[in-house]
Amino acid sequence: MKTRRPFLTACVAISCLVAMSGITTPVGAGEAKTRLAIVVAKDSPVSDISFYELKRLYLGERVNAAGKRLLPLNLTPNSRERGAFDKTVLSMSPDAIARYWVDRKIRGDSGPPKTIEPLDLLQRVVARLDGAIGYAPVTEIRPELKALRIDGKGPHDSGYPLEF
Amino acid sequence: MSAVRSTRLSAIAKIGLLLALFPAPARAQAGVDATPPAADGEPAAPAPTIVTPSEAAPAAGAPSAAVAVPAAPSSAQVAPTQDDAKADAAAEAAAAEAASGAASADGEETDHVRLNLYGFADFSYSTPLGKTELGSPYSSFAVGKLNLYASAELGDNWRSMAEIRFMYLPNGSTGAPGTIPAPRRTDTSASDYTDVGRPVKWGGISIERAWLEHTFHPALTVRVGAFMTPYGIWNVDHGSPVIIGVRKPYVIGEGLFPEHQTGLEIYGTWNLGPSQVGYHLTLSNGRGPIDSYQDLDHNKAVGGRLFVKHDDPGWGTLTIGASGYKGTYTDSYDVYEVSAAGGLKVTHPITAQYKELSLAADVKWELGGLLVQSELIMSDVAYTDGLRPPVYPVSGGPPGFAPDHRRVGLYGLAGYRFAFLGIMPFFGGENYDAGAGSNTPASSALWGGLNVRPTARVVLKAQFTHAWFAKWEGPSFGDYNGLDLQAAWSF
Repeated sequence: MKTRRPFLTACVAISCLVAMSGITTPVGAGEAKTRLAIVVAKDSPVSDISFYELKRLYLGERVNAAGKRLLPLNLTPNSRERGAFDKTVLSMSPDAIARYWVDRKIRGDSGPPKTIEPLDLLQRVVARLDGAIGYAPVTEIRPELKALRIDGKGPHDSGYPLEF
Repeated sequence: MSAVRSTRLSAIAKIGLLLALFPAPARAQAGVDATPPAADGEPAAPAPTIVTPSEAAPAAGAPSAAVAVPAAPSSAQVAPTQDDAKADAAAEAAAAEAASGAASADGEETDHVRLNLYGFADFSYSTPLGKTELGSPYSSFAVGKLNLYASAELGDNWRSMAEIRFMYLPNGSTGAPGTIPAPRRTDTSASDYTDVGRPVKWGGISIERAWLEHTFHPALTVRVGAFMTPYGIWNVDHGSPVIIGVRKPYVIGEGLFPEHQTGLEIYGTWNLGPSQVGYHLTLSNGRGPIDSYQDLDHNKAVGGRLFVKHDDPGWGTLTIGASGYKGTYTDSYDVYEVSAAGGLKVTHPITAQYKELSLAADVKWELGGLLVQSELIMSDVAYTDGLRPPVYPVSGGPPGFAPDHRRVGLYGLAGYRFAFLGIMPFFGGENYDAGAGSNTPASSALWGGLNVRPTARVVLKAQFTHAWFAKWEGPSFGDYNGLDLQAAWSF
């Protein structure tokens, strides 16, 4: 029993240090999550897209919706929304994405979606370009855009997949 | 002639001017950013954030011209709430430029076609370990591949691409291995008139592919020109920075399918939720001595590939494919004669001919950093009687003629890429049987090593290979042990 007390003390001390240093992040401690909406021009005939179509679209494959080819636009990799999009939709780290596009071009396939920043300008271009599609936090969607449902779920529905 | 501009050059010029005039605010104003570091994003993306719908997705009827986010009319920031009018003006200008670019889609001007130039290269050090009867006993440095790509979105869903390999060959070549008697080494030395006639050795180029394609629908793209045969995994990957090991598996190098073909390719995909079904169909000159530009028989080669890809959040991506190719190899020469009636008569005596049927199956599984892939390939060759090539058995005995035969090979590769420095330990094995009449016995190999990718564009590889041969009646080749180091990079 004598040897156990110093051990427990050490464990408690280490736990406190770890908690204070922020190595672990409390999950769900009242921190509001942001939902990312997939946006198109308000007058676009597209209103729904599947999660896998969205993933393929942003991995360089051609995807048609409502008889039109979709034109994906990205934010730059250092933006918060882009990071969230890549993680939740593509399930890839920034390094993996960088490797993916190099490999794809050497295979002879098309390059990555074009990037625009800031978010506001991307949204304005999406509103004006035929077939353009982008993404934005639900709370920052411009009025000339509309959010697509993903697999039938809108950004305000429970179970919406794009949340960070 | 309209200018065909390089994406990078034109974009860099705009950005350079913009940044020079308005160093800080210009970046936000114009919506441009410098190329992110490789670790932060796609290094293959054009450096500035210029919206180019023609490259990204020129839908039919959609503007195909480059939509450059307009240069700043002032140094004010384009922020959602700071200056809405200016932001609107910037976006309107982009839209207007997009609309004006529609003309290029009609072929009236090509000023907005953007040519993407990029490529890859590799440098290797190879050395046999221990005594070997196979290949050179000496270690060597070599620049292996230096391939340059030029691709362009041509508007209205037209796209073109060319890949050129620059080589030191044919200098130093001694012909196909095993040729008896060995021909003299090719010497391409020429007098260099820019250097008082001193000798310079010239090299050659190989057109790896050059094609034009039009996409009607994701399920239907038609490609014409010279293309890589769409079979399996390795032949499509083919670039040194993409492939995991230093050396390709022996069965891939043996070309049981033609590496390239010239003709027509149709391909497409269908999406079925998390699954995708895809196909490739090819019609080409097939294999021949000059198949890149002339078919020497009436038998066009046909081929195809069918694959199913399934994406599962828990199990990763699994791709299963099957490929086939059927063609006739023919070599002939032209004989010009004057007929008895005084007319010209041309005949084409055939000097070599065989039919081939190749089949392959492949599987690839990717889960996070894990990669597992395997290919099984076979090829049946049936010679036309009277046109069988002579065979000089190295095992002794009288010379004869090559029999019909079947070649079969298999390889498997597994690796795991860690996030730290992009390190991927890998290992694999292979077996290859060259079939009846071959002067080499069935061979097997095990290999393993490291593939390190410190940045997306640079790959450092080290591979150890141990190969051995099955027992047979001929002379022993012994085992082979070798070490290969390689730096491969894309640019």
